[in-house]
Amino acid sequence: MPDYLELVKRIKLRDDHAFDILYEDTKYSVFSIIFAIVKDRYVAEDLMQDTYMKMLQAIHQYNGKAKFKTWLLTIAKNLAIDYYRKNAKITTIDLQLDEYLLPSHDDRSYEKLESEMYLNVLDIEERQIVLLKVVSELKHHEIAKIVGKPLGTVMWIYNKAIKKMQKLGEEDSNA
Amino acid sequence: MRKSKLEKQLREDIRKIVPIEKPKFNLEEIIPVNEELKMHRKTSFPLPVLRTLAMVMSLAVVIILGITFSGGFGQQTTTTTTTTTNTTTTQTDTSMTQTTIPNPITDINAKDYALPIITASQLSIGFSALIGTDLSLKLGDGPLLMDDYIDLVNYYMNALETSLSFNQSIVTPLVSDRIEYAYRIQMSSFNILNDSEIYELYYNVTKEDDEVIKMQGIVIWNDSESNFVGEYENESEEQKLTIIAYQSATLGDDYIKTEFEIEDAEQSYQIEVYQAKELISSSNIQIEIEGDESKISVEITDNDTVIQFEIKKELEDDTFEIKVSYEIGNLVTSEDGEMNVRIVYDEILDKYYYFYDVKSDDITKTYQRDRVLNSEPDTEELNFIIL
Repeated sequence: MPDYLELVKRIKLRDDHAFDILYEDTKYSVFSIIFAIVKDRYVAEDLMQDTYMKMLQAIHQYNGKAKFKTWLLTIAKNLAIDYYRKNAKITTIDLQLDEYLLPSHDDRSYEKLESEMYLNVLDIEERQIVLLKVVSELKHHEIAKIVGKPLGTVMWIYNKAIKKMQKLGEEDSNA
Repeated sequence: MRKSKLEKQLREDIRKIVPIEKPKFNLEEIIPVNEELKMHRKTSFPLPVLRTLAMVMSLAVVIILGITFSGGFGQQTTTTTTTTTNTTTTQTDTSMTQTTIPNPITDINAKDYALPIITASQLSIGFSALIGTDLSLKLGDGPLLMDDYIDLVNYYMNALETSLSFNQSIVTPLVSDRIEYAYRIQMSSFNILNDSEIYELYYNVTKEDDEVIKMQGIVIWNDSESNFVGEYENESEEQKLTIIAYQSATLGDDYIKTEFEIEDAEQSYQIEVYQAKELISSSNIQIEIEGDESKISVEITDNDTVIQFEIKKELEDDTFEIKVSYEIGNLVTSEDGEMNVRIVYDEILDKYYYFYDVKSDDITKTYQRDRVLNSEPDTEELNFIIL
């Protein structure tokens, strides 16, 4: 695992290589936490870009008190929640408005992942924890700090989520 | 779907859609200048040296199965280092097709495939077994939750060392002396108290198709017998053995199901306990061996309580270190911590022990437990102390 404090020092000096290393080490976590909330991979990509932009703009504000990853993932989570809230309010069907909301989806190919079927049976909290555990390979106690819940609760939620997905898989194969 | 398989699929699918390259930002334009933090810019960032993976095969590495038909009834090929001598046996048998069906237990690395059968049957019979004396996880009142699980960790610590240092065979094919069963093997193992135990398997095999072989038999320990049915699948990249062990005369509502898979350098077990057809407890165990490094990951779930721990033997600065990380929790309480493991030799008692130095939050303590292997580890390799 890289030394984040050292990386942050270098990024503050606009060291592009340091940003490379940081991105490689955090991309799965950042994407996971956003995707868990917005459930759309293209929106998640865009918000991921926004996250790193915001991180860079605020890099001088990072004082090392909290773990860097926790700080970064909080930025990602907040951006995703903002997006989710903003779009959840819109209920009327307006083609022009929909185009504005989803401007570029039409020209991107979309291959449905089997995993999306499994993730769709989970609530936001379960999806966050599952993706952070499985995709980012974080330990439960690291996830507990990110999502702000006790360790035991996070372990319990994770196992409950796995059982839900396994049950879906069984129902699917019996159908 | 097995938990580890589901996790793997999710990981692979989602990682596929994560953008590989970082956004193309001009840091000069985005990051404001901070005069106080100017420092001499280095031209390179020191990266940890990548470890070179050794290609040393340990005795626990999977042998790639090439299904061949055995040449006659009773002739058994085996990869164990010691075998019994009786290679020809004539038995009157009505199903001559059995002579050409490969025996999944002895035609490949018998140890790997006998063990999950033993495991499932141990649990079924009800004595100390792979996942502990009691499948229900009760959290006690000690200063550390780990107080209640250190024996479990120690069991796997022994399993890790033992599995990597087989100097003798622990699986022995024998001639079946039960007319209803074609095959028989004897296997030695040890329980959670580190006592050695002998098991005997009697079983028949039938071939479903080119990839699937079914098994049915019994496991005997002392005077206890457990029945089992099993299925062995051989696909191009992985081999899987599923065993269901039960105590009743026929498979009913109470049983233990064990799935064992081997894929590349990784072996995994999933053990599920069913009562009245309801899943009451499950365990996942993964063993990875790569070069000289190895890892056992264990997760046990019982209703709302989960314990996860990982034992790693890694090369650090040319010395092997053994470390354990763990998490225990339910809705009420939880704990996580790390342990360094030392192997200590008592010259007076001529005995080896594991010393586990645990740190969890502000609490530190050391547990001493027995080590099964009574041989000296390579002192250049392991953190080894003589008392």
